[in-house]
Amino acid sequence: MQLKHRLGAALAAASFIVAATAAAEPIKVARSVPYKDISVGTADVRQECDWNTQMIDYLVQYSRGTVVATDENLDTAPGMALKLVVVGIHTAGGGAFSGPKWVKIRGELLLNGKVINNFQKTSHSMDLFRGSCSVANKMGKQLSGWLAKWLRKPANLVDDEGIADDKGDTAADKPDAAKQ
Amino acid sequence: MRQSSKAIAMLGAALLCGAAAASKLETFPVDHALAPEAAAQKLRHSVRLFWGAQPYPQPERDVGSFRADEASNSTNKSDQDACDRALLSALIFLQASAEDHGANAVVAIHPISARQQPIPAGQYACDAGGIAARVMLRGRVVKLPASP
Repeated sequence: MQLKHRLGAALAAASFIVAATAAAEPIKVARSVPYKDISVGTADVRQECDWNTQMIDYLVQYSRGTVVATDENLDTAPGMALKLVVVGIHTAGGGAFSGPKWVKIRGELLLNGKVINNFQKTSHSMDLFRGSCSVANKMGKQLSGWLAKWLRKPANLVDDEGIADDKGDTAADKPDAAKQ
Repeated sequence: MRQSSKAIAMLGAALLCGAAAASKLETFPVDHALAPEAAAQKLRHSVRLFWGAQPYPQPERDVGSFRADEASNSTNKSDQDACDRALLSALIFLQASAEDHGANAVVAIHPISARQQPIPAGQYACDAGGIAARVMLRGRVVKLPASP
């Protein structure tokens, strides 16, 4: 039993050291979050709204130096990189009449080009008097705040294979329930 | 009279909330979830799945370690039915991640227990609540050589 505890403690310490070493270098992120494909959102939103660029500005700001925006190819960049993609967006104009708005992103955290962790997160808004871009910007800002917090947890910066899980905070906080 | 009915309503609401919020960690056999034909139809045949220590050929490329965290609606369903659906969603997510990266297999798939409870081999863990059931899996996405 004692050996089990010691092994657990050693594993936790090792994971923390790996995380701390990896976290010492800034995490690279693209200057804008791309849309997965043309089926995501409407052409107007994709062309006219720059919420996905502003989201990265907020992320850099909220992460307090942990994240830097870069033009490098993240797949081949050395060190840690965060690849984000928009997989769903609904920001139809019309305020309350067009229902709730949402943005869904997926992220992959890479260490030297290999994925070590990933997540999927949705942000919702029920704002009544906002335009499409404005509401998207608000949701992007919310996602940046959540992401900056996610990146602050050392457990999220390592492959948690065999390492204690942190009660699912690493993936969708509020799982998209009601999936049939 | 009015006060007592208010109290009863509040008690009922509290009980309902409690029932909905309380979730229990259960384990179910993986085979049971993948047995129905509907499950086999939903999984992609282009991405192979290897559980736990199941052997697999030497990969050509290792994309990395992916985690799936999926929930399914558990109203009007048994815990096992809801959990099986969530497991299927998690596997579909891993397969989709593999396809996105041009990979063709997910290996060393293992369930993750949010409550750090050991999970017997051949089983998966599921957080089954009154409203939703949740399953977490982790696996390595790789590209295996084309089979002869």
